[in-house]
Amino acid sequence: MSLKMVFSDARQWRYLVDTFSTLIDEACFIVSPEGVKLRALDPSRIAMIDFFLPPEAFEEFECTEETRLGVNFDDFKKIMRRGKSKDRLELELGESDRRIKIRFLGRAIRTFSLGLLDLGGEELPLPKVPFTVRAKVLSDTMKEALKDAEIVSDYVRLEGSEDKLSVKASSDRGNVEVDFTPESGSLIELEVKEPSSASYSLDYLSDMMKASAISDILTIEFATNKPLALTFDLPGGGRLTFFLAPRIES
Amino acid sequence: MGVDLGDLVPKKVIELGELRGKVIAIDAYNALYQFLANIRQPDGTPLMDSRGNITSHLSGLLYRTINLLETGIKPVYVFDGKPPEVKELEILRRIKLKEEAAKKYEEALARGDYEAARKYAVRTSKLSTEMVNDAKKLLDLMGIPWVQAPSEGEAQAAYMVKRGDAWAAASQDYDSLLFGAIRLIRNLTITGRRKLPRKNVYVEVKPELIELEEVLRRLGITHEQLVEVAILIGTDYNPEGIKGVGPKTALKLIKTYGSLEKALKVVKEAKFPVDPMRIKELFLKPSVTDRYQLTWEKPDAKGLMEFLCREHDFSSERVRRAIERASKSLREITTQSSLEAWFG
Repeated sequence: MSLKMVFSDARQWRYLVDTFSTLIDEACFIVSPEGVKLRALDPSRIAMIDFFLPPEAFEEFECTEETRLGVNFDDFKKIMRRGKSKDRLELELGESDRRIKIRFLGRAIRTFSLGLLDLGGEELPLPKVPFTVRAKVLSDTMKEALKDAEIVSDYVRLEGSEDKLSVKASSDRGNVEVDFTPESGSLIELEVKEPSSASYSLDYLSDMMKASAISDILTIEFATNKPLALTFDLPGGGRLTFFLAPRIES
Repeated sequence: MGVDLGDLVPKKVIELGELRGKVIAIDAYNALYQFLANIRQPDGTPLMDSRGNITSHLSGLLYRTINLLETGIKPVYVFDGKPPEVKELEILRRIKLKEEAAKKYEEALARGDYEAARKYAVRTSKLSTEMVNDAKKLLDLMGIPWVQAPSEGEAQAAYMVKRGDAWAAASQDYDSLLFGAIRLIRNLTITGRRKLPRKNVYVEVKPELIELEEVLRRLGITHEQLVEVAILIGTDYNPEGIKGVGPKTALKLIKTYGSLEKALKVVKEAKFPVDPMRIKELFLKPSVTDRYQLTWEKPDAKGLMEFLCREHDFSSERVRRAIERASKSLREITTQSSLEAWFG
């Protein structure tokens, strides 16, 4: 069992690991000849990460059999934050190694090694949600809309109707409404099976939106009083999806 | 006091956040005694209002419960009812210990040794009926459910966990495992920075999760056998245990001979205040009730101000802030769902 992965832009992994570390403390990357996967629930079970990167996304990808890389994200993040722009990233695990080598290939060759955790557990299922709204938006614009909402509230209401997607927030401090329409240029696609609306915690959403640094386009899926899925398309055919449980007013 | 299973039990340190959204059945007496022991002035005097009523337990209950609500935990407090008759010996023993401690406390105070005074004061902690009623009244005003156990609170909490109404029982004692709780959480109400007794050293106390199935698997015994091990070590119903038999020996005896009955044929010097089979029965078939309702309501701000500030001299500014925190986290608890409902 040995593996080696070289990624052309170390910063992209830095953003990924930064985003993951806001939601989870430790989790397992599963590396196989098909690519790299990670699926994890945050400790409170409100949010979930489902991540996949195919071999094509890497400059070099060598893996002969399925290997589990359990990491502590706090430690992993500290190392990944040392990645500079223009650094290439190499991850390497030798035969019977208990530590993974993380190498930044730039003006110098900087090698870190990180102890792996033995994290057991079977693969998590994905939440089954019959989504009724599906919208493709510019991730930056969505990030800004959520920042707007944060001015008045700790949560937002998403509303999908025939011709627009709205982000709304209200409290005794005031109201905010941000509309995404095809005319405004930020709504790339909108599919609405039935008009739907649901509320979600801004704390979690803003953590997830950190991934907008690596992907310009974001797909939002939700249904009334059901979980939300945020999917970022990653380079080389990869994808990062977050699920978030709704707030349900009684 | 409870059984000293100590090192036999595998514990997992967890973060409070992992308990978000979960109902936890808290051993009320255990928590109140901890507040009473820990919330004291340097010389050991508990907090009191201007009429001389002790308020340490109310202060602890108010602020600690709000901390739990803020991490998304749904607490329910379970109060002891009438103890089984066989507990008489243990109760007498505790009263005697407290009387001795009270005497030593006075002596330490008289000679100006405040450190010793505090140590003994903590051991004199006594919950009067009035203090318990105040605690229940506070919970009612806070909108937090509490359950009156017919007998042992830990048995009732275990029953609620077994039925799935609560995710875990919380207590410092291990007895709820004997009563069949599938999960037990320790340190829940003392999590945070704690000063070590009689030392100027602080440690970070984190909650520990103990899972019954894991305990039994690790020890290689059944639940019934775990109760038998406990009886050999000594429980609240036979506090003396058996001379020379600690956790390790007790486990070995039960594993070697298979049952308490057979083990006792070998350990001839064993003496019990009551028939050990009756003790076993008390753990395996305790008296419990299913007459309880778990709902978390909006706190009664006016009632809390009246009760805590007017009657017990709490600072109205602090109580007002506490009510705000409680209302906000309660709203959060009742509205934020978990993804679990969609894994089907």
